[in-house]
Amino acid sequence: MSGQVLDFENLKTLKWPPTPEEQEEGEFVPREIKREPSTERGKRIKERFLNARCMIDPEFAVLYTEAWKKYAGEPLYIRRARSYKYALEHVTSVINEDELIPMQGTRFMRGAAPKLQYSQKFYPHMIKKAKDESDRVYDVGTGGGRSHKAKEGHIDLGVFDILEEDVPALLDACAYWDGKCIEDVADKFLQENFPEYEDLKNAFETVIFPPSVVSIMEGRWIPAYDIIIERGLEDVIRECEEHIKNTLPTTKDVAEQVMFWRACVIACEGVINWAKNYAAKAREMAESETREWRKKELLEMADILEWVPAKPARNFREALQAAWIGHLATWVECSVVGLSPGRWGQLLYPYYKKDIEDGRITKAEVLELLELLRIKFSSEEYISPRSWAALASGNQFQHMVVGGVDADGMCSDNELEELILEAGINMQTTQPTLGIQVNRKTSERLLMKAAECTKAGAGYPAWFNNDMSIQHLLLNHAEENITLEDARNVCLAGCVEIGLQGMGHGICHPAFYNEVKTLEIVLNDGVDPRTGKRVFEPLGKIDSYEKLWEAWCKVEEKFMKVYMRYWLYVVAVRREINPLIFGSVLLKDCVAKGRPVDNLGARYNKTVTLLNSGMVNVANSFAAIKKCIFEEKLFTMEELLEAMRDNFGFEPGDKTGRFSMLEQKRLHNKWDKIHKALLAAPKFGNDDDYVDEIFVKLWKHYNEVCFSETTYNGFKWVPAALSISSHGPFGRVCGATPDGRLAGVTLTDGILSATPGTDVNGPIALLNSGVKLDPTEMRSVQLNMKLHPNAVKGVEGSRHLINLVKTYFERGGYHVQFNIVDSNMLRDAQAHPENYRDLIVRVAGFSAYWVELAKPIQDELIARTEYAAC
Amino acid sequence: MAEMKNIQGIVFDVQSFSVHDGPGIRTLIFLKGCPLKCMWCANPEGQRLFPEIRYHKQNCRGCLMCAEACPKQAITAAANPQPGSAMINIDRTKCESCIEMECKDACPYNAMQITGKLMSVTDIMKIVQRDRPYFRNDGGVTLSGGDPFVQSDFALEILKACHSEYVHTAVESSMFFHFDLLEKYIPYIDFYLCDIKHMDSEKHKELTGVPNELILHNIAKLAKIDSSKVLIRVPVITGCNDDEENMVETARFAKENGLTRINLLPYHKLGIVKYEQLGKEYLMPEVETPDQEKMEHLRQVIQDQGVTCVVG
Repeated sequence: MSGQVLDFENLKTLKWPPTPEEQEEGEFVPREIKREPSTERGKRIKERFLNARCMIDPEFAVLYTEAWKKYAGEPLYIRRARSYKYALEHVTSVINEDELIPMQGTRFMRGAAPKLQYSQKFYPHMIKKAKDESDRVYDVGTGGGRSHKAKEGHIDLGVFDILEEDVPALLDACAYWDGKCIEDVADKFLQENFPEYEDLKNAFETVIFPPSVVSIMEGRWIPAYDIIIERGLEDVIRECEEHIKNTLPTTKDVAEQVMFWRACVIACEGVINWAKNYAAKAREMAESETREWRKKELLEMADILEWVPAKPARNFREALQAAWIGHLATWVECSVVGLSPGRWGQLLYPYYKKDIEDGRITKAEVLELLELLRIKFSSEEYISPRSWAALASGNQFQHMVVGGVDADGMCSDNELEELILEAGINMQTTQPTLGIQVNRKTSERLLMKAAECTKAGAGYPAWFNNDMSIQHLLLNHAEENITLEDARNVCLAGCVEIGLQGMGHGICHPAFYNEVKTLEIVLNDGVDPRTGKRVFEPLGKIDSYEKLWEAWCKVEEKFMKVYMRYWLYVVAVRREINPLIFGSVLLKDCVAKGRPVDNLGARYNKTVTLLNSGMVNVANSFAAIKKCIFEEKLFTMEELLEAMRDNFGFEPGDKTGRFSMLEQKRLHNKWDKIHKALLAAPKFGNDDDYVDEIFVKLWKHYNEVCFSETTYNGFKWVPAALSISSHGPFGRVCGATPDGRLAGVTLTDGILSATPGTDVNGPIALLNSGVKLDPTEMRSVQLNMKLHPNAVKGVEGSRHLINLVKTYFERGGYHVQFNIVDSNMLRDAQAHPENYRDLIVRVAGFSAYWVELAKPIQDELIARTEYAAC
Repeated sequence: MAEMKNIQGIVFDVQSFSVHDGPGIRTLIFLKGCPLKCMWCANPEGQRLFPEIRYHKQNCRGCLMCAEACPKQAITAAANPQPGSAMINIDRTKCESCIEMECKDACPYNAMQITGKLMSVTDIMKIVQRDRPYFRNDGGVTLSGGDPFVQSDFALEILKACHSEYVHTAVESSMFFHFDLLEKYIPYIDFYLCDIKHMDSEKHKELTGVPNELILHNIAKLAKIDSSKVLIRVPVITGCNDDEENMVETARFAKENGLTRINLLPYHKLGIVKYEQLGKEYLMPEVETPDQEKMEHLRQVIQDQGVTCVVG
């Protein structure tokens, strides 16, 4: 690896440090401070959004259930489509004050619509405010900022409220789905047919995996928005009718195609009518509107909604509205997390360019629309049991990306993408989260804008290595003969997972594998120390490092396989209850093939396996055991186990309420020497091969296990590495570990991040440890860095940031994201949440409002090593 | 190419991804030892040449394992330890001749930490190679301290090694040396960061312990060789050197010597905690960090003299 060679003879006269004026040479202006919506309208809407209570709105679910009953007996696809259409046509149209891009999934400024056909037990549970055991482990939203006044007619459910008047209908609908929803039917199906059902139950109970995630099982794909923008749904209907006309249902398979096409027609009609209802609403509001300017806006909206999504968009406004309808119509059809817009900057650019050239729209107007769009994305919440809410912090993971290349591999950056970043700076909301795909060809302009956006502090955009993503797709989808052109249309689906714009299969495993729990089971001879439950046959005495490794492989392989197999049964049931119709309309090539996404309709059907948390803790633990016990023989395995059982003499975290290694309370000194030796053992993140090699080997094993199993679509699983915020709740169920971590302490976040405080050799050593794991065959790896704002100040600082990213990517890095905040500020924000309502921080693959994060995650963010660049 | 001598020196810190001490992304290497003793010194662990113990009282639980291990009997229990105060007394005069520093390993809580580590030129170059891809076009290595020239041969060998590897070098030095001693470094240094703490020699002596004639003389001579490689930096210390007159004088000196740029660094208190850890007294009277307005004013004063000035 050779660095840049310096030409000593021709060193340019150094002008260092540069003055602010010199920094501005070129067109880059330092603007670390600006973070206001660009218009008064935007400011008003943002204020309303931040003050809005999150509401559960059962209207859609109740209508859907009503129709589902009514259409009983119809073929499944058709029953699905009719119920979807009925619900869309009957939901209340709500157009909020000031807004320009109407249509929403609930009647509220900020709300979530339940999808009872997936799972429903937790609604009655929540409403009864019953507490169950998992509440303690998965406590969420304890930051304090969600505090709000009790409102008349509202029932407070913690994160959400529900209108009292909505409760009876919701409970009725829940009662209908009891025993019929995917979760219930799948459980029965598993119980009867899954040979490893007992293991599955044990794994749930000991939290090797979190409780069921059926309630939010769909996700991580990018719809083909071009279909709704460029063709319009009437054209899709026409195509389906054509297929139907030309197809005789000669076999069951072909008959299903015909039913699918008919269902697509019905679903498209539903979406068109939904928009028309909104158009009528806008006209009705215009009639009574006294302010001329608003009247005009309402009538404009009505005109737009009467044209799209039925017909092809004719200008930027229509294209944007159509894209939003496409997103929303997919969103309401299923229970989805990580439904990502992807490359809207590419899709919408031709409309933008033409309108600007024709003088039909100004840059400022586009910026305002993009800012308002951020509120639209942020307003659509989803609801799930508390357990998932804690694992994912309730985040929607709707990822919009800029950068990358076009089908010919040329740089495709454009001005609209810069505006998307600009809108992200001005309108700081958590959704859609932003990413930049950095290629060797990416322009300096876009990189500088992205650096500026990163420095605005909201944690986005995340930075992705575009070359690496394309390589990954070519490698992993070789089985499906992926073309280079399609691979270049890569974007992000969810927080850091590689996705294909409008061509890739959704429905993934949104579950996590708890690596540290696995380690506990290995070290305790097959027994989970927290519950006392035996989950694996006795492993025998671990008296050498090789035996430790063998035991590890056995247990990890066993439970990973249990999970992957379990999921096949769940998806099998889901196919029979909730096949996606509209989701398939907006995914290439479902309509052409006459198959929904669930049944190999998509162009690419490989899928991602479960995610994971705590591998760095395991690698550090292995290194500590290897060094202290088997090499230097400082103490024995028995002594280590005893010390761990005693939490190394510290008070457990769940008693102290402290979930980072900072400020822990020591009760006695008995284990001090052992603890010190463990802490002093090599730690990942310091460019130390001793432990980094163990880390890489652990991942290789993980990947091999993934590749050894088959998905519900008949392909090999694709491994992905990503923790979201599972490291908080997972840490709370795990006792002390050989890396020196204390009981209850949050696991190490992300995938390539170091355990807070253990990366003592600076950021470059951390990055070097990270690149030792070649991510090409993985759907994602993830690295979080915290930088002090001083380290990247000014235009010069932006360049440093870009150089850091570029070098990391040249050396094989895949993803990096930054928190550019001062730890002192975070401490203050924890103490005074009321002053930090709109502070956004980066957690693991997503940005979140600080006050809406649970305390263990807040503690962990504060403890992450901050690089101050002194 | 001259053969590299793999000699060793005493380093108290290495920082990668540093962006405030020279152009680009740099790796800073802090060498121990300094001929000056500035009252406000933010790196007091850089003053003395040899390794020292930094005692972190917040980690200490008063178990006295350190006292037991100490070969010099330098550590005793504190008489009446209060919450938040030190649990032990360290007789630093006894420590000065200690090379074992067994107290460090004896402490189970990492309360005894050593500042100053023996490293070879090869050790340093390993880190430089590790960081090098991140230097890209404009970054490199900055030798700092203390004053890197105190460990004269060690500094020279590092600089030579960097140059033979085409790595850009910068040096942050007090310049309080006879010029003949500095000459040998010149071919291997691409950028000088030179502090002028006061233009008045008497005042300079009061503040730093040494007069300024030699320093100014050296800066002038370096500027004559290549003024584009020399940057004057002034730490702005409230009540010590922050008067307009001193700024004007500094600017004039720069101008006379063809130096077109001055970098003002506002005083900060981040180093104070280290004094207690090292058992040293912080001699600086209690003053505030100069505010933005003040810094902007001083910047203007220098700009008015026709010299570019950058704050921070």
